[in-house]
Amino acid sequence: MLHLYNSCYAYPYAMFDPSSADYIVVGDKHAILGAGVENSFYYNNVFIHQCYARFKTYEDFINSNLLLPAFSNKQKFIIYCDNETLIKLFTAKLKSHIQFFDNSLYFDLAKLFGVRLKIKSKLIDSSNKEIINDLGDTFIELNSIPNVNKFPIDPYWVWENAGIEWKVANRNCGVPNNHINILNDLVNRYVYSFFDEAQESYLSRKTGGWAVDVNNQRFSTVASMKELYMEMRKEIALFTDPLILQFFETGVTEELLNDPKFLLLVSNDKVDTWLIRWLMRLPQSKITQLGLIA
Amino acid sequence: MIYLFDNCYLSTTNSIVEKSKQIWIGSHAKLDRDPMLNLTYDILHSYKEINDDELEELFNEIHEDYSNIKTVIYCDVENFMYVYSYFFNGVLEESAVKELYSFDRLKENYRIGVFATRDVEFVDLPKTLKGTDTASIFSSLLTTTRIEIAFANAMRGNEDALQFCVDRATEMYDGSPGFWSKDAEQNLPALLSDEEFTIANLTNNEFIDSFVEQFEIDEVFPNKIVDKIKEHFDFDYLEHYFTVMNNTTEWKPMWDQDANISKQKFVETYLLNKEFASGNQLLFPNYSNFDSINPIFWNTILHKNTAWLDKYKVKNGTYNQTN
Repeated sequence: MLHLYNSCYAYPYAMFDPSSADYIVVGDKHAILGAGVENSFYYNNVFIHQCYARFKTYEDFINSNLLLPAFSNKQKFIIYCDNETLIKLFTAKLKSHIQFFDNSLYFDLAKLFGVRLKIKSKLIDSSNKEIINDLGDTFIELNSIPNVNKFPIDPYWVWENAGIEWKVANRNCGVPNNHINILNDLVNRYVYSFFDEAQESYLSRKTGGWAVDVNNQRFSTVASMKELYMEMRKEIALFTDPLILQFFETGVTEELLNDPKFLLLVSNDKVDTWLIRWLMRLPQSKITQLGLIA
Repeated sequence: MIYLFDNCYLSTTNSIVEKSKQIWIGSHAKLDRDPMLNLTYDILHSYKEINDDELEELFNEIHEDYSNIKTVIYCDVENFMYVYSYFFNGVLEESAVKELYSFDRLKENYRIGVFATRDVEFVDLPKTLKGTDTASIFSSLLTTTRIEIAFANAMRGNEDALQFCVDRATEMYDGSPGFWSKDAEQNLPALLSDEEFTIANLTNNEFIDSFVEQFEIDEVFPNKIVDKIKEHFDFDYLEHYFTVMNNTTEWKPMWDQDANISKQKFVETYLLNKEFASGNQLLFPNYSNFDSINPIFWNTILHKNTAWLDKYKVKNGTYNQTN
């Protein structure tokens, strides 16, 4: 659904699932959503997460002291809300990132998000299909911009916590950001995640080990992901192999960033590949003009 | 915890599901001494003793008022056997009730499939069922009950039972079209050219439909997407998957045979195929809720004669009869 910051997402009411993550509820159903789940058959054998707070309106939530803790959460955290609130959150996030807000870009991005939802609804085999599809239509058909401001958060916090989409788009605008490091991290995680057995099978082969930590618990402690990958690919190559080889050969370059296939390497829950692709297509002058906070 | 009907279960006190509606029958000394009892459980009724009429009334009340809420009837040993036999006498012949009890007794004694760790008083159900000769009218009127019965009957050639299991498993085998479905939405932008990646195209339903067809979800195998991968990435995923990842060079005939298999057909052919299921023990129950299935019984169905079920009066599986 709508990714906000860190591990915080907004979901429509209809996708309520208290077994998924800690949550808050915003909007007209704030008093009732999830209030009786402890007695439900469907949630009996799973861990029920906590509802941290209930807010009657979007404004109540935005002005509460839970805004920043929710957006800063490193564990998955969900804001269950009505469509109106979801659209307001979407709008406020864009306004928080675009210093010189551009209405036509807003409608493009709303359509893009709607398309993304509609495609998701076509691809999943779930009872939520219709809900996601309808929400997609709502975003595609948006013809006015809700009257909300950017989030009442320090712009420095936004700059620090901005998604990689904004950092990549803003990479040549003279504002320092660490998109190269983040992308390196994302690709290394991607490569590492392919092999559950990597920790046992490969990391101990090299004299002294591939990893810095003795238990090889974290990929970030791998001394050389490139060497590890070369070792792994002797047995198993990945279908994005040429791209990964290019990455390990050259690092993150403009050529790689502009190759749509590169999105395959960096895509995950928190990276909106639709947005990143769209922003990458904008001319540099437009990016500068927008004054992205990233 | 033994499945009875709707969302109602029968249980000994070996494991307690705290977050459920509860009915307590019999003598429970530890429970009576618990000063926090009212704060601990949501108890609908308590009976020191119960008779056929009261039990009949209880089943009807649970069915009418709590069919969608998990409700567990906790009993001491004596009352467990009474309620068990009274309920199942309504749907099975006497000898079959004893057969079924032999499996359910083990499930209860070993607390299989229940995630709760709290017990009020740990008991062992005896090998021999000492129940009642009377039978529940309520249970005799049920049209659906335990899925294991349907599975056993399907294994023995009953077409209706097979279809019931196929429907049930297809539903449980949810979100499983295999490769890439989870990430397809995120990966789609990578498969689109610059000319295709426009708002006009993306908001055109025909364009999206034609593009999304490659991820058709009612397939078990990604037979359509692999061609696209080859086209876009110049990578033969199938060759790679079988020869590199699975070391199977003679994969083409096998692939040709099953490439277009639907999820429903897959369930029918493999999950509910006795030989296949035997080789992958408990495969089907793994997709289910152990609360409502006795895996010991399930396993027995795959290996032993279940002719005693011939006299089973209820046709199919565990779905809520009001569902």
